[in-house]
Amino acid sequence: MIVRVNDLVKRYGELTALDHLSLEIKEGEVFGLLGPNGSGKTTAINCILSLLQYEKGDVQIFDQKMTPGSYNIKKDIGVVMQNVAVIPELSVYENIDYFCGLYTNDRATRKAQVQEAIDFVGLNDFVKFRPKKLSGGLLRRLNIACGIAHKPKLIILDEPTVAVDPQSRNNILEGIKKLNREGATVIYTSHYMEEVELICSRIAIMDKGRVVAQGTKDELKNMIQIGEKIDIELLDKVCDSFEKDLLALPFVVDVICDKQHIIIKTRQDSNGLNQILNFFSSKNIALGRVFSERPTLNDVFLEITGRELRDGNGNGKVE
Amino acid sequence: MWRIYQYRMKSHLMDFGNLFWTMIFPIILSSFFSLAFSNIASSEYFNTIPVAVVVESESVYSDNFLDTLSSVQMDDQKLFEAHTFESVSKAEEAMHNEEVDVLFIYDEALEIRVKKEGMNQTVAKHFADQYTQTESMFAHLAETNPQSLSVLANFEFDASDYISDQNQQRGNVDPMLGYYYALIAMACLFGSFLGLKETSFVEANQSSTGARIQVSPAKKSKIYVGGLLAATTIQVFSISLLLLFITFVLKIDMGNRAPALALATIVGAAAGVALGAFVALISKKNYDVKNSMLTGVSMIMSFFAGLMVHSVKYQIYKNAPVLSYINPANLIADAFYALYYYPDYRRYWINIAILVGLIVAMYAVVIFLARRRSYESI
Repeated sequence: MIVRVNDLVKRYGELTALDHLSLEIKEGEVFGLLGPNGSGKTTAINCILSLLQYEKGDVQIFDQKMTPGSYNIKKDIGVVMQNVAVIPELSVYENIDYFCGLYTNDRATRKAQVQEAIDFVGLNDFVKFRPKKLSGGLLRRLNIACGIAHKPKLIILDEPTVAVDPQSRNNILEGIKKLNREGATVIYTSHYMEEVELICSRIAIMDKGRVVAQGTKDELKNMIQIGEKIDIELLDKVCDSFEKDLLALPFVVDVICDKQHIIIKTRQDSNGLNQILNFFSSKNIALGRVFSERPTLNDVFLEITGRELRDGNGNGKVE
Repeated sequence: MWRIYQYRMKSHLMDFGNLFWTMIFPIILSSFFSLAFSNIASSEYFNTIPVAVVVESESVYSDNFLDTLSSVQMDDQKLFEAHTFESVSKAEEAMHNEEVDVLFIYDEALEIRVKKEGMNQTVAKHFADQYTQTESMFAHLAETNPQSLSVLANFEFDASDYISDQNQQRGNVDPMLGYYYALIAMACLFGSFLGLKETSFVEANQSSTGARIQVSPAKKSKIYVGGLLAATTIQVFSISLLLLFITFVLKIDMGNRAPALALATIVGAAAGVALGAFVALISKKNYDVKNSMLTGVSMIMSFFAGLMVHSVKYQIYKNAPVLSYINPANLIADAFYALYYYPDYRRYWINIAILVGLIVAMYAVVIFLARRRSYESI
C-alpha cells in the first residue's frame, strides 16, 4: 500500500473538516478525490502530507508513519499545490531548479531532471520567462513541473487544472496519465468530475469531511439505483399528461418533466431504453431526439448526499 | 545552502518594489535632507556655547578653570561663553530658561550639569573630562614632584589640543548629522521588508511556496539561514550604498572610522532583517497587513530616533530612557553618532552590544516559532 489513511479527524474549532476519514491507495493507481468545494479534499491532502495537525488517526506512506520530520518519505513525494507556488522573480528554469534542488543535491542529476521536467510540461520555449509573463495554463504547467521534476514515486495533485484553458487542461491530464504509465502513483483531487472519470482508476467521493463512496467509476455508478438516463424530446405532447404513468413503472426511478422535454432515470439492469420506447409506442406518442447515457458521478453524489455535485452551468464544476 | 543563498539573492535583487524602499528611497530622502539642510547647517556652524559657571570655593584652580573656559577657541571663535552665577539655583534657572546650555559647578572637583542631551552638551562634557584629567595630572605632579612646580607655574592649558583631538574624530561638526543618522537607521529598519519576505516564503501558513518547501525533504533551518543571509547581504549593500552616497555625493563627513562604520552597518542591517522575520512570525495577519505594520513600526522607531524632529531623541532619553535602549532605530543612529562625536568607543560598543542582544532575542523567537513543521491551519 502506498498510502494508508486511518480514521483521520481534523477540526477547525466547531467545524469538523475531516470526519473519521480512511483511505487506501495502492501502488500504480491514479486515485481521485472528488467532492464539492469545502468537502475536505485539500484538508485531507494537507493532513496526509503532515502540513496540518490533526486530532485523531494516522497516516502511513510507503508503509511508514508520516510525520512532519519524515524526510526519507518526503523525498519520494511530489506535490502540486492548488495555488501556484512559484517564485515570481525567478525564470521558469530557475524556479524548477530551485524546487528540484530541495530534493536533488547532485548538480548534474538535477540539471537533467529540470530539463526533463521542462520537456514534460512543454515549456521549452519559455525557460527564460518569468512567471508573470506566462498565461494561466503555462503557469499551471510550471507549477506542475516544480512539483514533479525530482521524479517522485507518489505525486499528489490538488486541483491542478483550476482556471486553465481546455487545451492546457488536456495537456495536463495527458501528462498525468503519462506519469502514471512511467510508474508514479497519483492522488488527484478535483471538483471536475469529467476529469476524475477520465484519468482516475479509483475514486473516493467526499462530502463534509467524509468519504461517502469509493471504488472504480463503474463500481460507484453501480452503487446507485439509476442505471440509465434517457433524455427525450416530445414532438406533439407535453409530458405532464403521462408523467404519473411513467413514475408508476417499476423500472423508473425518477422523471424530470419540462413540457416537451423529459428525462427519465431507470433502474440498474432494467434494459430501460427499450422499455421506455415500448411505453411511448404503446401510447402513440411521437418522439424527436432520444439520448441515453450511463449515470454520471454527479448522479452518484446526488443519490448519496441528496445534493448536486454539478453546478448550474453544466460544466462539471461543483457548486 | 549556497544555491539557496544565490537564488534568494537573485529573488531580492529582482524584486523592484522592495529594492525601491530599501535602496532607492533612503537615497532620495537623503538628497532632500541635503537640499533642506544646506543653508541651515552653514548658519549653525560652531555657535559659541553659552555656559553657566558657579564657583563654590575660590582658589587658584578655579581661576585657572575660568581662564581656560574663556580662552578655548575653535576657528578663531570662542567655544564657550561663560556666565558666572552666585548660586547653583540661579544658574539652573538660567539653564531651565535655556539662556545657557550647560552648568559647570567648580567646587573641589569640576561638576557638569545639563538639562538635555545635544551636541553642545557633548562638547562641554568632553571639555570637562579633558580639563579634569589635566588638572588631576598637575595636582599629582605637584604632590609627588614639587620641583616641577616651577614648570607648572609657566604651564598654560592648551585647549587647542583638546579641540584638535576632537576634530580628528568629528571632522567638521554638522548639526544636521543627527537627521542623517536617523535616516540611516530608518533605512536599516526597512530591511524588515526583506525579513518578512523571507519568512513568508518559507512558512506554509503564509505562502504556497512555503507549503511546497515544507513538504520537501529540505531542512527548514537551511532554507531560513540561506534566505535570511541573502536578505542581510542585500541590506548591508543597500546601507553601504546609502553611506557612500551621503559621504561622496552629498559630501557629508561621516568620520574616518571605517571598520567601526562597517560593523555598525552590518549590525544595523541585520537588526532590520531580524525585525521583519520577528514580526512575520509573531503576527497572524496577512502579508500586506504585516508589510504595513513594519512600515509603521519603522517610521515610529525612526521618529523616536529623531528622524523628523531631532529633539525627540533627547526627550525620549530624558523621559523614557528604556525606550531608547530597546529602539533599534535609536541604537543604530546613536552608534553612528557615537562614532562621530566621541573620541572613545564606549558608547558605540554599548549601542552595538544592545543591538546584537536584540537581534539574538528576535532570532530566538523566530527559531522557536519556526521550529514547527505542521500547522493548525494553513
